[in-house]
Amino acid sequence: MALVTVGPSGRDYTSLFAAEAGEQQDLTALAETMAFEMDAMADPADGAKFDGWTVSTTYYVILRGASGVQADLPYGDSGYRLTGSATCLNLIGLQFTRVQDLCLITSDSGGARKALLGGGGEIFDRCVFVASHTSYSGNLVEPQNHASQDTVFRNCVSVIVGTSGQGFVHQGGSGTARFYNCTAIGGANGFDRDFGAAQIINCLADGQSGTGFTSTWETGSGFNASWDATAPGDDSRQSQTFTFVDGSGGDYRLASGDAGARTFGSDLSGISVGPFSDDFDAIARGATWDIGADQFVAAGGASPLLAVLQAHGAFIGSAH
Amino acid sequence: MAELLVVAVSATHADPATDRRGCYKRGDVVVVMEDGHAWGRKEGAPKFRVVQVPGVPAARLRYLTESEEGIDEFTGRETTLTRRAVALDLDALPTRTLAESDVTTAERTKTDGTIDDGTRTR
Repeated sequence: MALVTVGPSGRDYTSLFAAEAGEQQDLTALAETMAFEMDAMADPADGAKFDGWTVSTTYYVILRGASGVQADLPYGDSGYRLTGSATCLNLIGLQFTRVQDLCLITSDSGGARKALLGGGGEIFDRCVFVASHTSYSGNLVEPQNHASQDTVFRNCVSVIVGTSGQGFVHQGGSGTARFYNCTAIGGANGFDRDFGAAQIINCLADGQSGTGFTSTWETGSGFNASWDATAPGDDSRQSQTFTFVDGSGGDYRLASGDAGARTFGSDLSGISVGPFSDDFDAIARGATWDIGADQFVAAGGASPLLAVLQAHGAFIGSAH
Repeated sequence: MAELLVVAVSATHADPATDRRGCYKRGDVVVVMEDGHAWGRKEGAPKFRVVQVPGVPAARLRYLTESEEGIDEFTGRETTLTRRAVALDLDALPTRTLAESDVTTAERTKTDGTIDDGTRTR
């Protein structure tokens, strides 16, 4: 695998824009996957658009936060932030991309821009998408599936500061969008399927001014949770109250006292498309899954001693 | 007070439509930074050329990074036609350091249809 580094100093490139321009090529001819690894910085480029590459399901691009500076909650200045008044990241022309541990923040005040435009075949892990302007009214995360390939979101979080706009919105295409263990906070609607097929499992919607979930969803959807009566599918939990570590401060990890989402998820480690077993913090979820991006106690990741100490209240605050 | 990162070697794609729409070409301005920007290890020769434009705020030259938008002839939808609406004629630039008027002249040359390296038509 080829590795390209992006950072404010001492790296290959100082913006993702420049990295894409400098490395644009036919990865299938090279028989190579290329990883772009981003350091902690606010990328000075106003929106990054990938196009003109040749990729495949075997040889593709990975965009990821460097170790120690991955996307976090509350979102802020600690990791790599791809920000912009334009669409932060446009992957319409680059299918099969893996996006991991990135924070995309759009500061746009209208409805035309997004944090992410997807083209199909991508897998997004542990990303945070933010609309930071109170008047934002667009679709924050918008996969379109032009590649006739499934797009998978796992353990991702959308945060809309205002009361308009929509978090995760599938805009059609011949592939299926699959939302697994994602959390949508704020805006008018949390999850929406405008066109095409979309499956949604273990997803959590809270704080919307309109509805948590809208439209109808693919067979197999379920185990979702919402503050209102819209969580779709079997075994979903509607009209729930969620308790976060620091909801007002932007940390939407589940608190120990949460009774709305904890332990009510479905184990997706064996699901046919895009199986996984970790959470937003890349900690193993263990045998009993929570709904949403965060797993309160990662039974497989926490040591027995840690679990005992947590059970006895030995720590103050989050167990993460 | 601006520095431009300019593509020195055109990228290519086997599909003509993707090549025209998606590939950076020689003379395309990738990013505009303020004077004194600490460029990365690969932000230079052979793929790029850094062009300095002293005395001009970076914000005034950001238009050089805008894509050419238009209607796709097949779908009828608005889309990106080329990565950059304008490009610099690198071969015509006499020195590494430019005045703002040099940039404007180069832009006009391109929008008039001049082809900088024989690979690009607009």
